[in-house]
Amino acid sequence: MLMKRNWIILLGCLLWTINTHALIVSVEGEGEIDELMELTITEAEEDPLTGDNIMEIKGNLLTSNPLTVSITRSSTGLTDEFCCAGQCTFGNRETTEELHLSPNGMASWYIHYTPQADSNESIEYRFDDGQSVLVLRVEFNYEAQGMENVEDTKSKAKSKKILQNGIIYIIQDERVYYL
Amino acid sequence: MLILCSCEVIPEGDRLIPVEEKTAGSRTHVLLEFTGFRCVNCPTAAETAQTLHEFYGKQLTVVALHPASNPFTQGKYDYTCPAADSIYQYMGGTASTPFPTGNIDLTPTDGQWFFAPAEWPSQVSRAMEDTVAPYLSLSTITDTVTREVTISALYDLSAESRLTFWLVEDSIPGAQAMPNGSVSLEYYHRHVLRAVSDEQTMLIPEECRIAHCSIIGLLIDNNNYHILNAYETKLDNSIRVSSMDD
Repeated sequence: MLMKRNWIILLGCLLWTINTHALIVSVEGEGEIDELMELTITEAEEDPLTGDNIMEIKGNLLTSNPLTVSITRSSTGLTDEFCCAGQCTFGNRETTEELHLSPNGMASWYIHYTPQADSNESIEYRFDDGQSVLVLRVEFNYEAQGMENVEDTKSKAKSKKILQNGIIYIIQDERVYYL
Repeated sequence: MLILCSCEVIPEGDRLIPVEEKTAGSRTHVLLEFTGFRCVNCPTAAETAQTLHEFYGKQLTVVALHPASNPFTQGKYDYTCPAADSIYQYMGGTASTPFPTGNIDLTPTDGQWFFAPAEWPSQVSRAMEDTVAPYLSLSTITDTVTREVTISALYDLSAESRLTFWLVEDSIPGAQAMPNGSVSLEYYHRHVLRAVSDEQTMLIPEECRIAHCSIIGLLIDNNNYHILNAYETKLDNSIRVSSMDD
């Protein structure tokens, strides 16, 4: 089950800057977030298999139920991939798409974004396992800044960024800030 | 010094020899493994395929198909061939078909064409219950200079089937996304389909290493394209004749 209890969570937003890039990830859902997902983000670097300069966001989601993923993309420039039960499916790059997965435990998804000037993209996933719903929205904003009001409470943060247990992290220059 | 060799000329009528009376032969099944170098789970599936191949021996041939219409095959490297994509699309494969996936004998089971690797052992086991097949055996002669393969076949060709030949190259070194998220640039792609022909002569593409190539003869049902029997012979084992003037 995606979540147990029926309450709305706005997990918040996660800002991450590389040069002048910013990434905003917001997660909304019903239930216990610790069963829900973990999220990792890697810096933009060249993909040795495609030659593209990409930033990757990867998330995991736990459910044993058949999972419907409704995807809304701002454009067809983003690529994404869903993996579960030993198989992976590429998104078809249409602006709207619905995938039907059988996770049998855990599903993973990958979003690949190529940072470009004046490129503001967003993608939204609506995960529905028949018992609960999770909405994940990712915004890529090339020029966005906005870390002014964030207080540094963990200066020696891990390089991998994890969003879980309802804690909201804001990450900048490999440092994690907790809200 | 002049070295002059030539191909042995095999009369056309001697190359393909239909067996007049229908003869039952032992059946070789074919595991079609749909894969791509950007697919992180494909190395694990390739191991499954290889394990099944080693377990069943000559009763099971594995062919890896890299269809161009699935994004997992697209990028800086190219292991695709047009025939692989034609087969994939005939089976209903699309850009969003989950990978890796597979099929036995180009035959659907209960209307389903594609099976996840976890289902391959049971699918193969089920196929193995069907042991009787039209007789088929092949031999080849390869000219290493012209890169032409001449195929001779002994087979039981009923009115409802036809014979076709697949060129497969094994252990192609290259790139592959790995299950742990890394990228291997020293991965060996096994049993890769390179070309398909209905002719009894085939030209080996320049990028293929002859010593790593095999010809798989397939008896295919004319009505539904199901594979009725298969026979694999390595070109390395064939008589090689070089023809060149020096």
